[in-house]
Amino acid sequence: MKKLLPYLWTVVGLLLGFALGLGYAWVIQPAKFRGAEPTSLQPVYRGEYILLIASAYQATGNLEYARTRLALFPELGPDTLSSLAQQVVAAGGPQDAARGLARLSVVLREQTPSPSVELALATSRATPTIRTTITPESTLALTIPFLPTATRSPTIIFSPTTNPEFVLVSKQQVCNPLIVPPMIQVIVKTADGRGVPGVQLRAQWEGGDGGFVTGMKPELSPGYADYTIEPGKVYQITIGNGLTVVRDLTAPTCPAATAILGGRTPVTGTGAGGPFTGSWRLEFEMR
Amino acid sequence: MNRFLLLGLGTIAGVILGAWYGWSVSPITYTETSPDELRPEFRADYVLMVAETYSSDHDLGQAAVKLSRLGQDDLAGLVRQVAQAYAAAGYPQEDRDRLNALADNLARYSTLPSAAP
Repeated sequence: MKKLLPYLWTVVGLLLGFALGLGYAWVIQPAKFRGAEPTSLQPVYRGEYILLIASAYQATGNLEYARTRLALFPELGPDTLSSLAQQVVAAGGPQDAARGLARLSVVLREQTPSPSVELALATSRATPTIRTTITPESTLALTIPFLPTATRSPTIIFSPTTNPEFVLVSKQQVCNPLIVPPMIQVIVKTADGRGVPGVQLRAQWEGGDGGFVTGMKPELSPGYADYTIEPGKVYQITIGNGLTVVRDLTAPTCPAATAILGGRTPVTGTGAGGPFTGSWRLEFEMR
Repeated sequence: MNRFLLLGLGTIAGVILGAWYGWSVSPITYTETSPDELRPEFRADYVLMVAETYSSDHDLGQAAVKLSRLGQDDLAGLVRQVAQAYAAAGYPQEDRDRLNALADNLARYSTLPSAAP
């Protein structure tokens, strides 16, 4: 024990010195601040930064820059971007940013194969497999700021590439008891059949309105969007810059589900056994 | 050996180790920062993003609001400075064009006479 005593003093000195050194390095003379990274921004500025990335991408279509910028935020996967786009639309935020987020979500997801669009559309929200696509990542909430609008123009200004003319090519009732709740499904495609993400839509009814945008559910189609409707209300859907409007949409009443399903009684959905409320499917072509 | 000497040597070594740890291994990290504290390369990219967005929406007010987050009064000068840095670094011409267009418009509108008497 006596032999170890000198070393004990050394250890005591080391510990004391370490505490002093650490205090000096952290409190008295901290390492020189070389500037913050975007990830260390206050939540409101962080959200603004992310929206700026999306707006810039929407403006330029430069995916390389967008990828590099998004790489600073590892938590921003396709699901999170899609979720953010929904938040921005729901809160009436900048529409170009919402479109950019939706487009980025689709582009980043393109690397993974998606299930058959038609099959997915047919079952939409009703099947558990679709529900399970909501990952913990998509529940991440970021603070989305909205800048003061002192000089903000009241209407959206579209660039020539984002100001397409949309033509309604198909409007049909969907009597599928598995689609609950009833909704208006929208598919926007180009002339060669490619889904178009980031297209802004507006649903209006007496006493209310709401916005939605294509590309929020890229697992169905990049050009897909839907809006839940209530039976008895008359809806109007406006797409893009407002020149194309689909009016008088009310949730249709569909015959008993057993007839549609070939005698099999559905185990889920509103149509179990009797007439049920159906949905609408609108298809637009971007000209 | 004198125990005070050992204590002193241990303390000196400890101070060196502690300072090294505090500066290099686990330096102080800054959170809850604002855009004006961004590192120069991120500030420059922030300005470029504003210019890219402006090239599409032509909303000079929004661009000015966003740029003002960087804490500089001369917004046109700030954008022009970034344009020059990008030119020197060999960034694509279209980036520089966007920056210059924004700088020109900021300069033009900031020098307009005030409507107030």
